[in-house]
This record gives sequence, C-alpha cells and structure tokens, in this order.
Amino acid sequence: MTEINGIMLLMGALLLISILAAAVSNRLGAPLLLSFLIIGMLAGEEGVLRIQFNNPTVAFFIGSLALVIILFDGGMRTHKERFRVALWPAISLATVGVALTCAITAAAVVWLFDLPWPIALLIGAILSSTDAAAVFGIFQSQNMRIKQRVAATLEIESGTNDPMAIILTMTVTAMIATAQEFSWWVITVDVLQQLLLGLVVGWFGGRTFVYMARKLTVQFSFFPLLAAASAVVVFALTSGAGGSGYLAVYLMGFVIGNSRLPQLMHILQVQDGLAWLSQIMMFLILGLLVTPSHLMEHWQLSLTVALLMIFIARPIAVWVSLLPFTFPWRDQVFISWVGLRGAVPIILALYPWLMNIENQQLFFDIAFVVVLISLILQGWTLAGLARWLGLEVPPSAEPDGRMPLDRVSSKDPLELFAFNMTERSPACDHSWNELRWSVPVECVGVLRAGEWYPNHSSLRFSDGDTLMVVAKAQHVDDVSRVLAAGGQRQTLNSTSFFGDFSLRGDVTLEAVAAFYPVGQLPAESAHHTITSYFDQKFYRRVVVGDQLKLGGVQLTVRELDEQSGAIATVGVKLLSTSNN
Amino acid sequence: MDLSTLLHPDCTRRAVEVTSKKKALELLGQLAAPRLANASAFDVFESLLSRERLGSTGIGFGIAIPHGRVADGSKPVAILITLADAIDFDSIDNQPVDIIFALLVPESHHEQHLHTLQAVAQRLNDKQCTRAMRDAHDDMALYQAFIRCNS
Repeated sequence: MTEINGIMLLMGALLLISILAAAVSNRLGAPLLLSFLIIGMLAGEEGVLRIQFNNPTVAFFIGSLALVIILFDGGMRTHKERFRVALWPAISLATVGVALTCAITAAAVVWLFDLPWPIALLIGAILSSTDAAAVFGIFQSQNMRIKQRVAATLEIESGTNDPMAIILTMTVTAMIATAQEFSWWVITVDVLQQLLLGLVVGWFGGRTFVYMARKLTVQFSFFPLLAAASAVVVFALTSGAGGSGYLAVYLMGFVIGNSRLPQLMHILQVQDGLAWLSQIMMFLILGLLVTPSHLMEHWQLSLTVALLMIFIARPIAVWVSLLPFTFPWRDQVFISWVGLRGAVPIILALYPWLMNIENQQLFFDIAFVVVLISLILQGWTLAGLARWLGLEVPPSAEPDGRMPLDRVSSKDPLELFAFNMTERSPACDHSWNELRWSVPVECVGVLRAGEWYPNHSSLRFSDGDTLMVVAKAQHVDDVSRVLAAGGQRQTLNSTSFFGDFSLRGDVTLEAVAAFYPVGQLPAESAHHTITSYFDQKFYRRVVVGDQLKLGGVQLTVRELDEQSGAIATVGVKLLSTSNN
Repeated sequence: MDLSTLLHPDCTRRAVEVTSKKKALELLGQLAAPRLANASAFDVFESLLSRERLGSTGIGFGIAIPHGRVADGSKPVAILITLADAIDFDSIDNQPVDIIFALLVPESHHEQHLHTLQAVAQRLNDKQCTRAMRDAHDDMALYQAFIRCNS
C-alpha cells in the first residue's frame, strides 16, 4: 500500500511541478517542452530524486498514446480555410522534404563518420519530423501572430510529417532487424501502403464519429471522451492493418474539427487539456528515461548531426520542396529555421531499442541531444526572427471571453461573447441601439462595476464596462470588429501596420494612381486590379499582411474574402518622402 | 503641416442634417467651392465620390476623411462637419459616421498633402478630441475643439 502511495505522490508532484514550471518558462520565453524535459531529467537517476526508470517499452507505450492524442487534437484545430495557401506546400515538405532531410543527413553521416548506410538512414529518419506545437506555444505566450502562409504551412507540415517519419523509421528498423537486403523498392511500397490505408481509415473514422455524435444521446460530458476513445481505436485498427495510425488520427481529427458538430467546442476544450497532459507526460517520461551521462558518449556525432540538420539538411530540403510554389524568401528562411524537433524523434528512437538492434542506445542518445539543441537554439530565437523578417501581423480583434452555448441545440453553434470596453473599441460612447450589424447578434446585458444591467438599450458603453452578446460562433470576427478594443496594448497596432485608409481589392492600379502617388506604373500593370497584382507577385497565395510598395505608398492586404480567397480590402499607407 | 492654417472657421459646421453619404458629399462640395478658384461644387462632389468608389474613407469610430483632387489655382481646402444624426458610410467597422473631415488638394500639390491626411487621422483617433468635438455647442466651438486637439 505504501508503495502505491509513494508512486502516486511522485506522479502527482511531477505533474504539479511541471505545470508550475510552465508559468515560469512562459515568462522567460523559453519553450515549455524544454522545461518538462529538464524536470524529467532532474527527477531521473542522475538528478535530484534519483528515480530509476529504464523501461523503454513503458516509455514507448506512453509516448505513442500521447502522440495519438496530440495529433488528433492538432487535426481538429486545422481549419479548412488554411488549406488554400498551405496544403500542397506542406504536403511537399512532409514528403519530399522529409525524404531529403533524411537522405542528406544520412549521406553526411556516412561520409563523415563512416557508418553503414542503413544505420545512417535510420538516424536521418528518426530525426526528420518537426513539431509545430512547440512553435505555436511560443508565439501564443508572446501574444504574437505571424502570417498565415507561414503559420499554416508549418502547422500542416508538422501534422503530416510525423506519420511520414514514423513510417520511414519503422520500415528501416524492420529491415535492419530482419537483416533484409536494403531495397528502395520495399521502402516505397511500404510507405505508399501506410499512407493510403491511413488516409482511408482516418477519413472513414472521422465521418463515422460525426454521424455517431449526431445520433447519439448520452451525457454531454461523454462526448470528448468518446472522441478520444475513438481516436485510439482508429489508431490501433489502422496500425494493425498495416497502415499509418498517426496519419489516420490526424485526418480523423481534421474531419471532426471541420464538421460544425454542436459538441465541438466542448470536445476541443477537453482535448486541449488532454493534449497538454500528453505533452507533459511524454516529455517527463523521456527525461526520466535518459541517462544524462550517456549523452556525452557520442557527443561528436550528436552535435554534428544537430548542426547538419539545422544549417544544411533542413534549408536544402525546404528550398527544394517549396521550389514549385515560389514562396517569398523571408517565408522560406523562417520555415527553414523553424524545423523544430519535438518529442517524436525521441520516441522514434525507442523503436530500434525495442527491436534490439545493435547500438540501440546510440539512436536514443543522438535523438535526445539533437532535440535539446533544437529546442534551445531554434526555440529561443524564433520569435525574434519572425519579427526581424517582418512576418508578424497584428492580432485580429477577438472577444475577451467566449462561452459556447453548446447545450442548446441550434442549427449553427451559438456562443456568448464578452467584451471589455475600452476607449479603443468602436462601440465605446455608443448605446446598443446605435450600433449597426451585418450579422445577427443580440446583447444580453452590460456588466458595470460587477452589476448586471439587462435593460441596456439606452445605456452608453464606457471604459470599464463588460458587454455580453450572443451570436453564431462563425460570426465572431464581424462582432469583434465593432466591440473589441483595437489593440492599443499590442506590440503591433492595426493603424500603424495597415495605414489609415483602405481600398477595395477589385479597383485597378490606374484608378489608385489618380489619388495616391504610386509612381510610374509599368504599362502592363496599369490595368491590373489590386487583387490580380498581388496574385501575380505572390503566386496566388496571398495572405493578410502581405505588402507591396508602389512608388510612395505601401499597400498591405487587410482582409480576404473567405470563400474565394480574393482580396477584399488593402490598407494604404504613405511612406515618408524627402519633401516632408 | 499646421492644421489650423488649413481649416477655416467658415468651413466648419456643427450638427448638420444630412440623410445619406451622397448628400453629405454634395454638402462638402457646396462648402468647399467658394474657396476654390477653378472648381465647382459638382467637381468637388465628383472627385470625392470617385475616391469613395475605390473604398470607403470611413476609418472607423464614427469618423470619415474623404479626400480628392481639384484643378490647380488655389490653396488646399479642408472642411469639417459633424452630423446631427450619424449616416451609413460603409466604414471599416461598419458603424455609422458623424464626424467628417474632407480635404481637397490641387493636383500639383497632391503628394505633400497626403501626409496631412495622416496627421488628421491621427488627431481624430484620439478619443478626448472627438468627444470634445461631439460636445461642441456651435460652429466656432467645434472649430476650437479641433484646433486645440493635440497630436
């Protein structure tokens, strides 16, 4: 009994400390995952608590389960609209990019350290997946938004390249373990089979879950658990049938996340917690498993591999993968640098260990060091780099609080939004009657000094009030535009970023020239509309925040039409000229 | 650019009654024309209207800053009006407009004065300033409120 108590105390305490550490590391701008890993190491055999944990099977089991939850969560949060600019580039990165990163790293390791090809390839495969959750965690903690072309590409890439790296690792490991002759043919067929099965089962699993959730009447709290359980089932079924279970759960998450299911908000909230728990558990257990003193045994190899991947393999792979899509160079530099490695490589490195391959510890130690270096070097610098490259865009207006009304069944999910009124809100100094709306919305009262005023119709909103409204969840942007404060505290404010005035996307450059000093327009571009001009310059992948200079003015894309992706408005900003 | 030399008390009107964006632009034309050498009220109206066709100059917070070019021959002219009842202006925040500052610039001085627009926008972004303008009792008070705003 005392033993069980001891284990529980230990587990609870580790979790508690990790969460408390998260608050501290957020303030330092450090990657959260790094602190979980370090806490695990501190608790481990050579740390403070000296816990002996040396069981790769348990670690692999927990790690895989955690990955299923994390990928499922990532899929649910991937919005369909992001696909417009990022789907194919991301898929190219996740396939061609992963293969290239793996091949370049392997070739260099063979050349520099004289290791056999299969071992070198295994090192490359283990390390080829990237982790976007770490990246977005850092942006979120700094309240920073980056251009969607970059953000969506990184996000979809990291969701889809995990399966790819896993498939590669498993295949190469199996090949080494069974001493099969090395054959590209076998690898290719296996990879294709895994991808195809993963896609089919994942899509089908998602549709089935949505159908089930619409028909089923169970207690409301069960839906998130139902989702998580279904993901684990789909994962196990797909893997059992020889497909990629990870791809299947990612796709399943995507199908569910884009289904407008009334229970979706609730599922997402619980999933958020589950995904964090998974991240913490995974990193803690990996930190526990490692023997820090072993890490130094292969330090030359580890360090070389880390630097190679960061400075050579990833940039080349990104450049080649994005070649057909002609991304702006700033985007490419950033995507190259943000090949952040997370827990996946360390978990993959357990696989050869479990299969009892020769030098089993080698892979684990290398993977661990590479992930550490990547988290520290890239994780700590990426916010600064994004700013320096001008990829930051002003955060969009949003409510200060959101409560889904998901227990009320309506055709479109409803939400209650709360807005803290400040002088920077367009609605300030006005009463509810004076506001105009393009979408249906109803006010449910004002909170003033903590008191609720439901009879609000002639009350003038002033600084310090909290306004509560009910609207459809999909109209959050239209409502926020009028009620939310336009970023005074934010690092980047809309007016200085976009300029004061705006133009419609469908006017011609010639017409703009009649009012603003756009300089000499080349004859062929005078008849372009703003939309077609941007489309040409950004190869049809225009996102909010893209800028073009024309003579003395700067045009910045301000709003896109959600359906067509065409430019709705651009901001005009006059550049300061010498005669002023 | 000193805004007080640009705006004349004669071109400042408080609590004007207009019912639409088009009517407001027409009124701006009538107020500006007497101070312009080579442009009629209709020319001004047309210039402002063609700028609005490219996208509204309503910058949000109930403020619009229409602007346009007129034939050479006189100094730039600014007009400031507040409205008795706010009107739809297709503003960026979708809300009706009740403060309008218009600027008309002769063609050859066009570029320099675009920076004046930015200074005006900055000034009107200040809530203290617009509150004072909305509270003004007469045309002169409105003029003073605008001039006294510090940016």
